[in-house]
Amino acid sequence: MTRRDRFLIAFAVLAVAQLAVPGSRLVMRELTLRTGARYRFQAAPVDPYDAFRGRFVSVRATADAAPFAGAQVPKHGTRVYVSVAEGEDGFARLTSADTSRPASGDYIAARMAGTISSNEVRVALPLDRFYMNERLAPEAERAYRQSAGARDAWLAVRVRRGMAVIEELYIGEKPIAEYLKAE
Amino acid sequence: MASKRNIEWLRDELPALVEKGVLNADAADRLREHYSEATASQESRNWIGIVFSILGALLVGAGIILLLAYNWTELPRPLRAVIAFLPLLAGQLGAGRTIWTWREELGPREGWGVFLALSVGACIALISQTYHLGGEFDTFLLVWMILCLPLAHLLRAVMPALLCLAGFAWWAILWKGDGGSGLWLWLLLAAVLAHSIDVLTADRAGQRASVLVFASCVVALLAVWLTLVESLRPGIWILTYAALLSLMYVGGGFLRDASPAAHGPLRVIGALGVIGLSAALTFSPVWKELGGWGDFHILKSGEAGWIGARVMPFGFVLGALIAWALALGGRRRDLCWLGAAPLVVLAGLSAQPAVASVLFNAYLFAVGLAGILIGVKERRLGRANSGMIVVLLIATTRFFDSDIGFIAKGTAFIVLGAAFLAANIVLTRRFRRAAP
Repeated sequence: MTRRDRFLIAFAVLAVAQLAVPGSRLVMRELTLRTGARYRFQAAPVDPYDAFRGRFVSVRATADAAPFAGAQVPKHGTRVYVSVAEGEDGFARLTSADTSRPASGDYIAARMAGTISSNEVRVALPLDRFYMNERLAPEAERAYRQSAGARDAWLAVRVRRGMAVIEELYIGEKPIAEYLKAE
Repeated sequence: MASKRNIEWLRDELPALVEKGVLNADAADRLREHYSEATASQESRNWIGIVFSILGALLVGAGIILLLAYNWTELPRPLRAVIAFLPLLAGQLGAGRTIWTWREELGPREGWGVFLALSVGACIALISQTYHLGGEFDTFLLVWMILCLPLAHLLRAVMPALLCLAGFAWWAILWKGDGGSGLWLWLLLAAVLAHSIDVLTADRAGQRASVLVFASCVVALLAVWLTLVESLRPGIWILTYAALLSLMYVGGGFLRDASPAAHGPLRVIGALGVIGLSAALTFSPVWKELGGWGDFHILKSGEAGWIGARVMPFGFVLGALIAWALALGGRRRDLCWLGAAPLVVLAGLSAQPAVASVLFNAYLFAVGLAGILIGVKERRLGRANSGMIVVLLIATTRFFDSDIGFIAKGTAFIVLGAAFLAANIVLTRRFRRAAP
């Protein structure tokens, strides 16, 4: 086998890895969007700028506290699994957090963000940005500011096997793009 | 057109051919002259090609990133996902073809290396954008760079290696900010150099290897800082930087023949670093207020980092002292002056800040004077002038010293400036007279 052949084989392996990393992200998210359970998370948008990934509306789910089900509260940044259920108002509630996956029900993999009390923790859900194009994102920010309050904004999120993918950002009952068009 | 390697082979063969009587000396000289012109023009053409290939790939790649960053919400999600993979596939085809045809020209290798590296980042970013993935920027950066690192080796290209060095350095700063260890940057730097072994060995006298060594030195200086911020020992940063910079300087001096490409950057960074650090250390507040680096202890991160912050300075100091001893014992005494910086720092650390600053004034003055004397002795105007610049540097640093009066400062500057001009005139005349 010549040096060129060895390089070609190594390059083929690298090319597969380069395709597999974004490809696996795509497949898992697409599956979650198509088959995951749908939840509504209340959110509050703002508008930072990320040079590499365009503009996005920075969102924060207002539900970020959960009772901790494990024996010892883990340290900041540790991965935890947060069970999620629909509340009486139709919005998602975090029912418990643990370092191991729950045996049943929908859950989201998140990171520990802090401790509220000895049996309640704060978690950072992977729902922190909603990408829009550079023209719409500032308009979305303005629309939010002009609206009566942050409680109008909410996220439609699909949850499947620990993965949570934002499906749409709503203001009132309209998707953000439609809301902006109607304004 | 004959390749550079073939021309070098022919040049090496010429003495033997003359000796065996196959060629006479005149014919050999004519061949040498002919091929030196040929290589010069070929190299110049090659470099224009390389620069245009790299610039073109950079512009196209950056343009694609910006176009994709716009977020074309009008397009359906699956179509956006497919579009994300198109530049990546194009880059892979181009790079794969370059390896398949085993092209020796640098232009396609460097150009496709840059384009593919940027396409990998664009693809991951667009998938993140399409599916509103949060995640941290440092993770994105690390994954991107790891997927690009092998390109340096497989395409025998320096641009992917430089991109990885920049990306890894950026990641290490972010990682450190999150409480991670600075030691990772050393590992990543070693990985980049290991993947660039072809460039470093095949291009020992070339600009590509020089640029890579230069960038690696800069990253190493950053890695020292990221590792050291975990240390609580006062003054350890001064000692470590002095040791690493003098090691670069002396080591670069030893590599003059073995690796001309590494020689230049190591010597330049080492010399400028030692002189800059020494100039800063002529101010006693630097010893008093920054000597401890105490404020950074909050960034301490784990046992490995703690050990690294203590083992690393020891290793550099040992290496610098061995290199200095070799220079002193061998025939490279010209390297000893700047190479002695760690010893002066050790002396300074054991003294009061005011004494330490005086010590560094004396050290810089000695370095400058030695440079002038070596320059005169070896009839090298550049060396003599660099010595004078060091002396002027001390004068400039003292300009900001509030303890010395304006009249004294002004007089000293005029005297030094006049001496500088006079010495240059005298030396230029002497060198001109002595020139054959």
